[in-house]
Amino acid sequence: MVINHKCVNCGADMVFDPASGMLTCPSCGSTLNISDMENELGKPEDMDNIVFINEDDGNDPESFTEHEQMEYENENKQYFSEEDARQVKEFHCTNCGATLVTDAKVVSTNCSFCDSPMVLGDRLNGALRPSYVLPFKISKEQAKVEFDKWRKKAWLSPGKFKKSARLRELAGQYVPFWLYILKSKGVFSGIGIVVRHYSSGNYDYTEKKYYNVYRKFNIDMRGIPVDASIKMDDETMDKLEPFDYNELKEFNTPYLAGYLAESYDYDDKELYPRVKERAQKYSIDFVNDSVSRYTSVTNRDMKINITPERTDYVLMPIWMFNYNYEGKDYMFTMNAQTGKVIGKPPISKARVAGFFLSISAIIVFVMRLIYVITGGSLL
Amino acid sequence: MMKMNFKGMSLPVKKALTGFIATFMFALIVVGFGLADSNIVLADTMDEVRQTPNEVWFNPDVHVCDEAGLYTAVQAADLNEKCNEFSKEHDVNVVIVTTKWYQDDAVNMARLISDKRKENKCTEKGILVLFIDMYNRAYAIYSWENDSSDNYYISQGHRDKIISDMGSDMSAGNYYEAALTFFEDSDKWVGYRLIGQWWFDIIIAVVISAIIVFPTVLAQGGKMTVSQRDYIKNPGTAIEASRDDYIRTTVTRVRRQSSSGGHSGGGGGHGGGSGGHF
Ligand SMILES: [Zn+2]
Ligand SMILES: [Zn+2]
Repeated sequence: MVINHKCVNCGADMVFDPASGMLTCPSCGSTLNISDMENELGKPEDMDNIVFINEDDGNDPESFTEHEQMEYENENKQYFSEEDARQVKEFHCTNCGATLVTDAKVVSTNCSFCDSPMVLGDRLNGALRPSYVLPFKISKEQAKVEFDKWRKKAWLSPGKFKKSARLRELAGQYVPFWLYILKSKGVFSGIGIVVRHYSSGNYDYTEKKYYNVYRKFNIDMRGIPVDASIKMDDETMDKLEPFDYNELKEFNTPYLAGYLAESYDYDDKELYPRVKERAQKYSIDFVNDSVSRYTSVTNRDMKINITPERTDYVLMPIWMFNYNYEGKDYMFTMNAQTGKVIGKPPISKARVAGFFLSISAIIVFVMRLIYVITGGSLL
Repeated sequence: MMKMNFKGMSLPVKKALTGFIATFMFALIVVGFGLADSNIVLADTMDEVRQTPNEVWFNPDVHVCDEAGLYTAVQAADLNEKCNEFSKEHDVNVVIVTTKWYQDDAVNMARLISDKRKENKCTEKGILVLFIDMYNRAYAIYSWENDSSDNYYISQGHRDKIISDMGSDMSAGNYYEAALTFFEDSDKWVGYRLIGQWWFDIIIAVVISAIIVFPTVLAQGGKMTVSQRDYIKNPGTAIEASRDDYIRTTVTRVRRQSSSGGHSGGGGGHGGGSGGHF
């Protein structure tokens, strides 16, 4: 099933418009409110409220049983083998009838002959159906403007990079993510020390007060995102956070119209170790916040038990820039909701040297100033 | 003039007379040395030395007091001129005292000279003493200043360096040359502070710049901006139990640095001596 929305007014292909959040006809400007449209994939089975932002405990899902947990962590069945992933699939363009061949993971693309947007509904069913989508909020034009702003701030890049870099490719893409809801329970113990310094007479005193510190915690973590695409660099995807989940929409195909989208390469179980590591780190940070009144805490002992409570398959919007500068390609990724840009621009050695020397000069000047003020001679 | 005629004497008499003369000459040498030695001892006991302070040593207006006679008149005058110049340039009263008979620790004596000069209303902000004790073949440098800014002071490390720089000339008896070394080094290091030395400032600046610049360059690619606060939701999250049980308190005390140096009078200032033998 290839889904292609034609304008009822003029027959042109409708695409998702980030500015209005509606399905829009680029030729005649007529719009369609997506939440009013019927879901072509049918009604989703069980759609809760958007649990990632709901802070009301009433929606707190049941924790896994210990058995379920074991099963969850140990079962490492891949939904798709790498072979599947590389397998190519055919379909026909509903607009021009051309036979199109794509990677099996592609769920939304443009016809390479007539450029009509195509959403491949067959690949969005069952386990492959996203729960939510975060629609594009930054349009292509805005993305260029935002990126130029970012380039101006890349003050360690050569000045020429701003003028002579050639934009070779700018593509809007929905990236598959898993959002996790996790429970972290555990206990922490340690020796807390409060240090105080004071002086009396001819002596300096250091007072150390020792405490036995104990914390039992129950942490509710919601919406930790992990990208599920092989192609995307994990570190880059992590740096694109945060996403504002208030703007998540129940998944529907029109949100994809006009953008590229691929389904996940890893399922939530395969990615669990990554999110678990983050949850552990966050648990430690949370406990550290709760013992921040101590100067230091030693003899730390912490037991953390992380349990998954719910996972959702979600599509997140990004803009990918490919710039060519002096024969080299530079990739940049933009969070298409917030405009945050991640990517390494070319670095000007001269500018870094100038920066280095300026700081050094300031420091030498300040030290000389201190020296002169305290009675030293200028040279 | 007594004339002696050995010719008419018999051999045993001649022998006896020769023996007598030799013995007499030997005794004379011994007595002569003894007398010479007794001339050096001006005071019999240390108490006596302390009870008769040499007003010249402690007089802030006198810079060179060469009791041991280590310098010629010309050298002494030259050193006195150098002391004057140094005192004007660095606001440090500099004094060279030599003695033949002092029997106490040279560093203590140098300190005593410094203290007495300060009591005698020495107007300079610091006092620098070179004390040479020929009796013990010991010499010492003592540096003292009124405030704790280090502007008129020579640190322990540099005092030790001066003592060692002077070492070879002192051993060889080149006391004047040793004194010149004393001036040269003291001029370099009086009021010496690490901050203000170009090489030190530049090293610090380069290190701090590196600490700032490298992370900045790395951050050009964008950085992680979320923390646990973005994902931990409050209503479902709680510290369910917590205890903070007091165990004990320990207190350690350290004598403050600024009060060391063992000085009477005036807060803040510090002083210290270094000494050696030759
Ligand atoms: Zn239309
Ligand atoms: Zn087509």
